[in-house]
Amino acid sequence: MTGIYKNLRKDFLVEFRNRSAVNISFAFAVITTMSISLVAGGTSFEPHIHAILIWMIIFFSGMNGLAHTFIREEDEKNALFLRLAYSPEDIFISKLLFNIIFFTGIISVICPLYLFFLQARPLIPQLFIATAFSGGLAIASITTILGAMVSKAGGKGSLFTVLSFPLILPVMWVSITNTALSIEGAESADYRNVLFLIAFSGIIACISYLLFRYIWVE
Amino acid sequence: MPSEVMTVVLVIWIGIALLLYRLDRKVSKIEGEIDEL
Amino acid sequence: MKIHRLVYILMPLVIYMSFLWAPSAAILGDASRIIYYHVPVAWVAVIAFIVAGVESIIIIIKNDEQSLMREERAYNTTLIGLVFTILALVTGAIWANLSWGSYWNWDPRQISIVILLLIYIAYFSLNSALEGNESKGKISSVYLILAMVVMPLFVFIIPRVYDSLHPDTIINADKKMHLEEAMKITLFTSMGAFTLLYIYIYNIMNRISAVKIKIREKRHAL
Repeated sequence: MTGIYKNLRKDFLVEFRNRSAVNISFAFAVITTMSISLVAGGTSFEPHIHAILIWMIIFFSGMNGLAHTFIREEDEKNALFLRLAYSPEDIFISKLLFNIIFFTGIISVICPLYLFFLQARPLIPQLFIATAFSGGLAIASITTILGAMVSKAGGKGSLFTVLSFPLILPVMWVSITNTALSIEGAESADYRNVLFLIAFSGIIACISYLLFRYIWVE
Repeated sequence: MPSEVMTVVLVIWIGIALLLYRLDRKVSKIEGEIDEL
Repeated sequence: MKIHRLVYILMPLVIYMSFLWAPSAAILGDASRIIYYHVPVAWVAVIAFIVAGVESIIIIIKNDEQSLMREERAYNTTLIGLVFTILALVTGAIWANLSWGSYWNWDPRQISIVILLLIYIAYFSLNSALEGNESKGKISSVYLILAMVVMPLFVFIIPRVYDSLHPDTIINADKKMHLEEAMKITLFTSMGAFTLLYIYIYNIMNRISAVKIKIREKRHAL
């Protein structure tokens, strides 16, 4: 447990000092939201357009920021030290938690920003929040294991996107559908999709936990 | 209508079957030779 | 043990049965005959991907000299699976056009198959990016295991949870099949024939891989 905690703390400290991933993700989110609201200029969008835009912003912010977790270790030649000092399972859990917390933070900023500037009001706020977080959870789980694989493969940007896209696509599809429902307040909106997203995250996280050491240890 | 489609499918299958047969024979030949090398 | 050579007899039999022997279905008529190709092809794709996952699990558990051959086998079966997934997509689209008038319907099942396709195409990208890397086998194997676990979600669960135009599949809610006897027999024979075809192609590809590895070893020994 202490291993996980120490790793987590180290990741957060490095991130705060360096701020590269956080900066990129937030900058992207803010710029895109502002651009959209400038162009939209007060015209109201359909709920599913809002849903698509929100998730596009979340997706690209994630792509920019989430891959860094492992790639940074390789870049800073930290990876060897980590391998010696901590067990693979500890490292995996700390990276996963970091990605989840990091991404949840980003989503917590993007959503209010977007809703405020584009004057969209979800009629079922609880469902909106639940979808946003469960979708973020799924994306974080997927990108953790895939980020680990890509970092061993040299970590060039496009490989990460190619690998994560097929798995993130269904997450996006479900999240967008559910977010649209929550904005327009349809009666058919329920938590089935949220459960699916959470279950999906759980499956990916479990398999990744079991298999991580085979990627990590040479 | 079925008979045209059936002919096409039959022709495709004959093509695949010939290909597989030739490959099978060739690979068996190479497997034999490589053990002698 | 050369049971897979039976496919030379079985497949023409299936072609005959599917087109001439089995009766036309009630509503769709002759167009329904595509079921004898679409279902087996999809079935083979699933089998191929499961074999890939199982092979990968063995690679990870038993890390010995056989691993290189096993990685080749996993690669081969994934390639076959990819081709059959494309075939399933195409036959499905043809069927969709015959039943509902358009090749692509944004139907959950059609979308799931596309996602499956993308997942396995990504495997090949991963494989080439890892060329020359000593962890290549392990990392690819982990990916195939992950894909194998996620695959049932797309093939079996999503279409059931979300309303779909796709007709009831073999494993449906009633646990019964709503097909006539002759159609059932034809369908099962066809699935058998395509499975044999898969085994045959897989066998040939593996033998080619084995020969390649042997040549490489002999060259190193020289």
